[in-house]
Amino acid sequence: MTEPIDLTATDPPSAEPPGYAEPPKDKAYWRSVERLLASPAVQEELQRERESEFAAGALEAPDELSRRSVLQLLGASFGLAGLAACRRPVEHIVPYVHPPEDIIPGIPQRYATTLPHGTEALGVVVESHEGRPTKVEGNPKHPASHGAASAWAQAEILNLYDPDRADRVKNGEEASDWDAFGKWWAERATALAAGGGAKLAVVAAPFASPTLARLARELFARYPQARWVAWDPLSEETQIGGSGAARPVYQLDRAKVVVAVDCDLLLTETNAVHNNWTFAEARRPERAEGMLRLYAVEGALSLTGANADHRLALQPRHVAAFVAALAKELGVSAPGPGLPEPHTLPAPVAARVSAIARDLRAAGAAGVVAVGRRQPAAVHQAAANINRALGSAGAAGAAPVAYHALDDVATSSADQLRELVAAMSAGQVDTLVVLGGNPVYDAPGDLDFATALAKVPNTVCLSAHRHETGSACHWHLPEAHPLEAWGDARAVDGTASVIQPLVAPLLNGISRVELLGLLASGTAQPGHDLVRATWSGADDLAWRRILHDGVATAGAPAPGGPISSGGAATRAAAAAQNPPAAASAQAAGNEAAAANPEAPPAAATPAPSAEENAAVTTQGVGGGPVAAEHAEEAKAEAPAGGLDLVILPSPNVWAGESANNAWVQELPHPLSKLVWDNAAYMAPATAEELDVETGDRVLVVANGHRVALPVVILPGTPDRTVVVELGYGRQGLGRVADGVGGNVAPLRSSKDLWGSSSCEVHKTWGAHQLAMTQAHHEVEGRPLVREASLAEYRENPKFAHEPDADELEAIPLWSDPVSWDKGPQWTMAIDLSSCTGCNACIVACQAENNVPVVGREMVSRAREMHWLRVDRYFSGEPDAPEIVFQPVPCMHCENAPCEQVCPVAATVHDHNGLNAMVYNRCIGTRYCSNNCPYKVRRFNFFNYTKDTPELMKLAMNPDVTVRSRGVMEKCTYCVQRQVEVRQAAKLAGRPVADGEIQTACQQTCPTQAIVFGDKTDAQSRVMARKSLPRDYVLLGELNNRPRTSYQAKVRNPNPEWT
Amino acid sequence: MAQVFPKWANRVPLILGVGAVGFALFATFGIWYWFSPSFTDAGYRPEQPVPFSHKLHAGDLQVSCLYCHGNVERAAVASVPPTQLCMNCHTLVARDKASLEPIRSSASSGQPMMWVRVHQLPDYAYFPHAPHLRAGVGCSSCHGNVKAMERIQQVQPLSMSWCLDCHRNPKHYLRAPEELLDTSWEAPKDQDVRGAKFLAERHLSPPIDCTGCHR
Repeated sequence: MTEPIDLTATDPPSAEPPGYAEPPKDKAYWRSVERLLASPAVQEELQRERESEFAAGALEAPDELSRRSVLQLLGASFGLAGLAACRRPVEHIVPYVHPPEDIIPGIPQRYATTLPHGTEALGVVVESHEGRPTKVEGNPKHPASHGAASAWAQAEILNLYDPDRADRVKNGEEASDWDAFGKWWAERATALAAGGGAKLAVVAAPFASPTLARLARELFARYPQARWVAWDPLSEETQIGGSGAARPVYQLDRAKVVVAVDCDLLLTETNAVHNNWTFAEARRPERAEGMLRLYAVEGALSLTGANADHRLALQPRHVAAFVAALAKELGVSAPGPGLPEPHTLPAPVAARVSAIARDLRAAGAAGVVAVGRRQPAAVHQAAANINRALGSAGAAGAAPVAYHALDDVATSSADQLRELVAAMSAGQVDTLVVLGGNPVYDAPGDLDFATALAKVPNTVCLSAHRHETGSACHWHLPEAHPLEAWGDARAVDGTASVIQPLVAPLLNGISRVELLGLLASGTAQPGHDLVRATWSGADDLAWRRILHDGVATAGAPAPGGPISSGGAATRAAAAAQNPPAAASAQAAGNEAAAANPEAPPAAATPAPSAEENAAVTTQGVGGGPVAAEHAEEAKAEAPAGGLDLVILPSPNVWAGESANNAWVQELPHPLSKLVWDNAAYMAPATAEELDVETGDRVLVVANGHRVALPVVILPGTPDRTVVVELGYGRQGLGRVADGVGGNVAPLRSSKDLWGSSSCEVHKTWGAHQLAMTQAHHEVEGRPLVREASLAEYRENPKFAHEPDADELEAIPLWSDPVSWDKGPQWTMAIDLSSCTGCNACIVACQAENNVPVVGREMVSRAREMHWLRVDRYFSGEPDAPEIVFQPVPCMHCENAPCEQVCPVAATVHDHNGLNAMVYNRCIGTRYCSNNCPYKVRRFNFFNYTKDTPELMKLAMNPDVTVRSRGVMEKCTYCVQRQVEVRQAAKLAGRPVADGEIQTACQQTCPTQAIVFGDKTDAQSRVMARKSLPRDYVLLGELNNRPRTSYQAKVRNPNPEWT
Repeated sequence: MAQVFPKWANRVPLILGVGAVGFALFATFGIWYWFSPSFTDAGYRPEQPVPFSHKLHAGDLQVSCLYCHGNVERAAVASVPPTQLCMNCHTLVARDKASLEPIRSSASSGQPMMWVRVHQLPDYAYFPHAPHLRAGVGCSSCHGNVKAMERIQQVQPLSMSWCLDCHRNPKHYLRAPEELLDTSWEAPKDQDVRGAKFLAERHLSPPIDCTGCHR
């Protein structure tokens, strides 16, 4: 943490005491567009909610359980309860037979490993209780993690214990086993080898792994003619192609001005945890080097845009022109004909280009242009040119942007996939192996992968679930979870680390390493041996050190360059007509990069060849020609149209990998706060034009395919643009995923994966029950979030402070139940300037505290159980809103209103200042929740954990009580962690050090926005944070004396910007 | 007119009144006594799969408590020993004894023993052994004179009020380190003085907050 600078130095001497600056009266915050735009029906509903003790419908039973049957059940359980109590339940103690080394029952172990995620990897430390992993934390030694973890990484625990995963090898519908598959493959291998493997094709899910790369190269050597296609629904091929066969890795704490162009640096782009960490570092208002300024220019509202100082919502078709205009303004040479002319940029945005360019030029080598994966290669190339011209592109770690070669990465290619589908349809493929991934579900709609797949005589699929592709293949092999199998991975900056299993495969899983090892060598080998062979440079001591640390300091495998199949290249050369242009250009770039991996992209970027230009134009966003017949169809169906379609990964389920994970399904969408659904997001003006409202069902038509989705009006979405998210609309995947949302993958075209400029939206009958948490727990427009610009902050550092709060006479209803002077007194600080709203804390809290999942219907009745919520406030105009995120856990008020109304003393204070909740005293009156001004208490309306499958019970944290029906619960400041550390310190005979106790939300926070510690220790980090002048408490005027305080948000707008 | 009620009926209200009071007293006592853990739980003495005698092992043969319950100083649970630990001795001692058959078959088959839990706390109460031992609470304060028990049994109620009796007044129970494993320990006459000294020396402040044990 940076030292706080002395702000009084910049404070002009004034006769007036620094006081509370009235927040500008015109700055009204609103939580939902309904609240602002006030349709009478919605207003009425909100009014009802305001007047009622709980949200509308919160007191009603779910449909399947009517009031009558509840009474019947109650009667029956009364009778049974009497009988059950007659007999003491016999409980068994089951010790080990031969105790494993190092396991002490009751003391969790922590192992470093790596979680791969597409082509990136996050180093993590996983907590294991007697051999069952229960909690993921970041690995402080790993460069992509810094000790923090993201929401998806936190949720991986539930993926491990997903009872719907495939549990056996299947040959058709018959149960088989791994040995039988090995025998079958041995026969196939002989037949395939005869033709050099020309009839073998492998579709690989994305990876960045030295071992998988080594085995893939062995496979190419054995079958030189084999087709190898990497397919990633979140393909980065344009980014990689445009950046000179490299990928930009950002070091935002070295940047001063960042322009994010369709680039969700903080959530859905690669390396988001690292980006959050460095972004927050550079955004501390007290930082001596100055505060980073972020511009976002984007075709869909992203989390990065929500955190930007200036955000320009631009119809997606114009985004590329913005970069062209910026390049022109900066005098950077025209990067190629793939870019549209700058003058096509709409005037309001064009007027801003010069201001942004001036700011970038002033920042010089600290100015960065970041472009997201949705943009075509030419835009990436232009951005790389700008970064080089500014001087910000340079060596890894030292410069704000470093272009990293893609070592051991299987780079996705839609062109190769299209070519493969053609070959499959033409009967040129005899054996197809799907190595992870799910192309039947997520391949672009114009390819019709499923039909082509049916024409292949022998198909094999390795996947965790017997999903859309798995059930269409002859052989299905259950894929092991990364916490159950050996492997390795490279982070985007090239750091190699090992994936070590924490538990033997629960469901007979086979890892990708093991399958590829069998394909490449012909014999099945254990995953450990295959990985160890790749890491043969490490002796046993070094290997143990690597496993212990989770990152390799010495002995890591040498960077192997990108993976490309020789077969594909030779075939491409042989087929003179219609060469896969992007692939060959990319291969050329790959070779250059492989020769000199550290070379800046200037050296690696080949002069644009004719083919590449052609490829670029066909991929041009919006402007690209879509398949003619589809365009015809679309025209025939409806006369109106011409909306822009943007296809995004879902920040919760991504492209569908985590669709069967209840934690992420119930995680509120960071921006729309929608759960258990995907939707067609559009701006208020567009919705008005289409005559639709939130909850209406529409058909989204693009590329000749249509998907039914509910509308959600999301302020900040560009006009005439529809935004949809991947990963939903699953069939036969599992009990969580099935029937949730609609699959938008068919709307994609293999020529333009990320949208269309000829999308149509048709209103259809019916409305959809949407569960959104945004309007729940309304807090009546009080000044809960406080913010200022950097200039205002310097002028009046105590802008967030209310003088009244100091003068409030503490008038307790009774004398303080405990004294607050003896340490430790726990307290928490949350910096709104740092928080980016990424949601990692919510999942971390859920995993740590056994917080139940309640389902769509319950959430729509405001019964979500999350102990920590992240509120999102809009302010300003609905078409260009400013957004603030505010995590709200229990405030642990010293003068707690909840305690004063509990008739049974089920919520009381302890001597360390915790507001404790005693489940066994609670009789469920819910008075406490009614009297809580922050609405952070959650009530178990039903026994949500009753039907938890056996396998999923393994995910429970044994140190936290599992709550039953009828009790209130809430944030405990992770009291179990406090107890664990306190007892360990006591046994060691030492005091508890500052920072030793970390709450789950704090530990996972990628921006370090949350700090927890002892109020009586003046040197503690938390008190340093709380002594900032922008510290304030929520609703201080109520004299609740909350222990959780906030540091007001400070923005850094461009002073030139009016 | 003949009397409707016989004469003894005059006493009915009195009998009813006394009876009701008596019943109320009896019910109060009954619930206080028969529903309390001192009655329902203390004395629980289930049959174990193997008739393991603490009296023989810990008493007569003087095997240390820590030989089998080795994690008690480190972890929350004292841990029941793994089968392998039994076999450390019983590959040599009493190797053919019929009652040890479950142990031998567990060791050879790998199937764990299913011991019956005697000291059972509710799931929402978290009791850690290690800090208690560290503070100077001996085994027998909760488990009784184990070294004299043929079959292990619960002697204390393990109720919340029983826990709090000690947490509020720990000086009656704190011992010197060398006395911790002595299950026949009885408080000496000057226990309150000794206990107060231990309390101060060891900087003990037993939690009496809810969060001390419930989370």
